[in-house]
Amino acid sequence: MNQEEKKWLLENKYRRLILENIGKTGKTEKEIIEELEIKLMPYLSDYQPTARIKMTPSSLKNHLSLLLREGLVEKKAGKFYQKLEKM
Amino acid sequence: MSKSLLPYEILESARLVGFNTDTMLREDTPKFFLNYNRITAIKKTEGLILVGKETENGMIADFIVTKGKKIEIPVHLCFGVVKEKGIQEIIPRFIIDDGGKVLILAHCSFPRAKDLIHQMEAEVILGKDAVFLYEERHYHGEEGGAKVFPRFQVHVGKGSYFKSVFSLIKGKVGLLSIDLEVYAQSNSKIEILSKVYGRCKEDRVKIKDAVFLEGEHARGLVKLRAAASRGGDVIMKGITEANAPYASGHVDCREIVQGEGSTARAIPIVRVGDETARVTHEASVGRVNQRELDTLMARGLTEEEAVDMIVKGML
Repeated sequence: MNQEEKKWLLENKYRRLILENIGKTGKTEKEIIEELEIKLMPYLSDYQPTARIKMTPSSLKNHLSLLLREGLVEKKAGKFYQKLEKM
Repeated sequence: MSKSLLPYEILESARLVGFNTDTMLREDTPKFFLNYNRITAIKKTEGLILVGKETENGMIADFIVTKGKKIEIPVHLCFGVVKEKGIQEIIPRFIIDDGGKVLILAHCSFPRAKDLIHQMEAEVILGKDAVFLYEERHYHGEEGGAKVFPRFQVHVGKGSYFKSVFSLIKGKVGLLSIDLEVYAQSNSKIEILSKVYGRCKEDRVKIKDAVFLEGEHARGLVKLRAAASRGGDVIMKGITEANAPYASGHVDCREIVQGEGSTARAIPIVRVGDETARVTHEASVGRVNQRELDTLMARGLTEEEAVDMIVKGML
């Protein structure tokens, strides 16, 4: 599969976040779930929102399977590692 | 409240696209108005935080519904420019905290645009069990000189509901490129509807509405409606990707193309990354119905008027 054909893989922000999160040091699924959290803080207001979004384990599993299959991550001893510098 | 909050042309265009300007201007209506780079009105209400900061060519702003607050009155936003040339950049952040609810009616108006760029980078988050209904109606004038680039990234929490309706069906479009991405968590519901009419050879429309279903039982519907006539060009891409168990979605693209040199393209893309999820699509592009056209022309309308009427009926 060439680079152009793989472009759609990174159209999904969650997959980009997974790749950023695991980096070169490698993370387990549990660590990724714990660390990945989407929140927005106001630009100007002092209000502290409680809204937080966590990735679901089933969605993470599906993304990791896809990234593994397409060669963007590799799995060693239960940890996932980013395989390519960038696409 | 004085009508000088917004220039006459912007108020007129708000009326033209169907907003009630008396309601918009009423003192007790929650609102945020921006005239190029000047914030001309902010009216808050309990549970609704509106804060803006003017920048050299636009603004940065927070629109926040605080935890558990349901804003019962629609909130009016208006971002306008009456200059013919220039650049307006706006950077809003919408936060609908857990259990919050709001309906926002937004009007973007560039009535004299000849070489005018409008850029928006919007980020949105809905917490748990929140509701965000967002309707945005545009008017880009009659010169075809607007270049409009709105980008939205939306994160929808568990059990929340996000609905977005975008329309640009009056006046000319100019250049329009919309990029909307929505990420939906468990048991959330997403509805996206975009309607655009490219009516001349200067009109170039590119819309990408993408829904990523990331939580169990998340549901998404993307509806795209467009028409291209008299040399206009419209391309609409509706994407739904389901990555979680029992997520379901549908993409529905319908476009009309009329007149020499007009082009309409519809690209529904569906992807499923979980064996229990399901996404469907439908797409059609065709000319206006000849029988409807004949009927209207027999009643005294010119072909141009009849095409406009049929297209507006669909949109």
